[in-house]
Amino acid sequence: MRTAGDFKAFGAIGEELACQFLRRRGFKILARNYVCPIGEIDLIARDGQTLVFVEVKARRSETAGEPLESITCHKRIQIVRCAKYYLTRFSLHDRPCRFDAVSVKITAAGDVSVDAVRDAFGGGSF
Amino acid sequence: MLARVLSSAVVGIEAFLVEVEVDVANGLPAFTIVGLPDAACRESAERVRSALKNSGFTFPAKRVTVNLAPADIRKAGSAYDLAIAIGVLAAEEVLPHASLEGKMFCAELSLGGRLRAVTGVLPRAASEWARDGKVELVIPQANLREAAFVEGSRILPARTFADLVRHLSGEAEIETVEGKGVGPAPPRSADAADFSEIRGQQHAKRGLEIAAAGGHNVLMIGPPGSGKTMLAKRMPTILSKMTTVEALETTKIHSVAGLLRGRTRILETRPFRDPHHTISNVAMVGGGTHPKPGEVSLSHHGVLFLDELAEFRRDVLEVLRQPIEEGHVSIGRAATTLTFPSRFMLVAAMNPCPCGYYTDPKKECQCSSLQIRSYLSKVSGPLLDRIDIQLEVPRLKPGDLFSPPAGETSETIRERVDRARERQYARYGAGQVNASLGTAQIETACRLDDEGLALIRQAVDRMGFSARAYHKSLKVARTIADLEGEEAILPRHVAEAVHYRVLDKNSN
Repeated sequence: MRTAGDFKAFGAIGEELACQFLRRRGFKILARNYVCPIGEIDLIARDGQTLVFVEVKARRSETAGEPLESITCHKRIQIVRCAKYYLTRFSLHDRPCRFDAVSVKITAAGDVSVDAVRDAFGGGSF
Repeated sequence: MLARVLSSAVVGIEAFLVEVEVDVANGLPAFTIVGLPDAACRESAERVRSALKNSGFTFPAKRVTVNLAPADIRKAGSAYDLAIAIGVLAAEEVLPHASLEGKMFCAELSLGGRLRAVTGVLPRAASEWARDGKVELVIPQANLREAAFVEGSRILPARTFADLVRHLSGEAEIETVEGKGVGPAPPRSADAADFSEIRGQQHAKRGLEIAAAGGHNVLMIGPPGSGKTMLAKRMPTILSKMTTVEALETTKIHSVAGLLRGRTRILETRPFRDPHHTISNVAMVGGGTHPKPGEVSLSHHGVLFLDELAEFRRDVLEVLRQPIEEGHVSIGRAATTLTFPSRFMLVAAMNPCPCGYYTDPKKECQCSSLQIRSYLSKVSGPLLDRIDIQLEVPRLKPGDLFSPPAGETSETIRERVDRARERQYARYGAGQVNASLGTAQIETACRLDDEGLALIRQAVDRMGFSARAYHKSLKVARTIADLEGEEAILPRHVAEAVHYRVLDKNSN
């Protein structure tokens, strides 16, 4: 039986792997688990001049489908709203922005595969 | 960065300039279209995104705002795709702004970046700002012929978005096409239907000739198989040719309705529309949320043939009243009120009763008098009143059936019709016919001598003519005189005109 703590720990592992992956690609990580009154953003990074809001999804098995499939419309709206809060909070509205998604898959044998989707969704009219 | 690109909207059959402003700014990536777009227009965002990507460009991950100005005209359809895509590239400074000046972009984009045909290209090409080549029209290759009907227009036809961008950035040129105008009409094909094929029915042929000459509405009543439909179908062969102005006007309506795809030529012969009797009233007069022209407008300057008139839904027949009388239809919807021209000639045919043999001397009618009455009452008085010429088309006599068809050809009849029309054009101005005379014009153009006056007074008394029926008879008499080349209306013209109102007599 997995406890809530297990899930949290696993999520943290996933985020750490995603961070490493993005750093290797030249991203500068600005914040991890940014929490605001509206919700939470897993990673906020800087790619050159562009601010990147990253949603990380980690999975241990494929029984529940691909990791990125679980980023639902509702989740996207929440991320976009959080991003708006962040931009307002630090007066960054004229900075170019982007939303990326990173999937982290860890098999039972311990093999890790990380994949990033650049510009995964738009800021739309939410 | 801000880019301005010209495009156009078609409202009714008129085109309006639309300025497409595209602003690309930093911030949360988003693609918003404002300026009263409808659903198809808003979806343009997705088509533009894919078309750009598949043409080898990247869609900016920035805040893209598109404004379609003026904001108070509703923008319907997909014709703004191209202007938006070009605007995005210009705002991103992929395209030089100067390359867009003096050009108007109208096309739908496919996801693969191909330019798809749009409706309403002719009104755009014929609009005052495009007509003299002031603005170059950038349109899909598939719409080229349609735009080229307008003399002096300058057209840049493109097949794909990538081709067009190469042209605008000066890498590979697309040749500009000059509108050639309408050009000479092709000769009528020899196997076309002709009046000479119709045996007998001299009376009906004469009636149709008068109708063709003066633009009068006709109703033919007769038993099944007497040749009503055959006669009506040959109507276009005896009508005078449309003037270029008329032809362009009618073609515009067909362009807006999207009926020109694949047509190689402008509409040269007058349109002949024969809708089935199950037609709805919206299909008849036009309508929809963003009104499209109906059958009455598609038959503008031509013939609207209603076969089996009494089988049409009653409300469909009643909505015909305004277009017949006014020569245009105004369609009011919450979003807009539009006016489409509808100067058509109504040619209708019906049986005298449900079984069809009421007036037939040989075959007995099976209908009760109640049935007959309710059948005829479907065609209401007000509608009947608007029909200038009512013809009885009896069953053919056996002698006529077996004799060789020796009637006049459509060609001969048309020559007479043409001459009568010329007289009318000379009297009232080009395109004006007797049927469209107003009351004041009737006073001057249809003066009768004493004998004629006495005759028509008698007819009004005995047959119970309405005021409108009286005026219609005068107009028909005018046409008969024109056919004979007489400047004055003689008593015999009046006598003939009066007897084309058989139904007024029957119903009283």
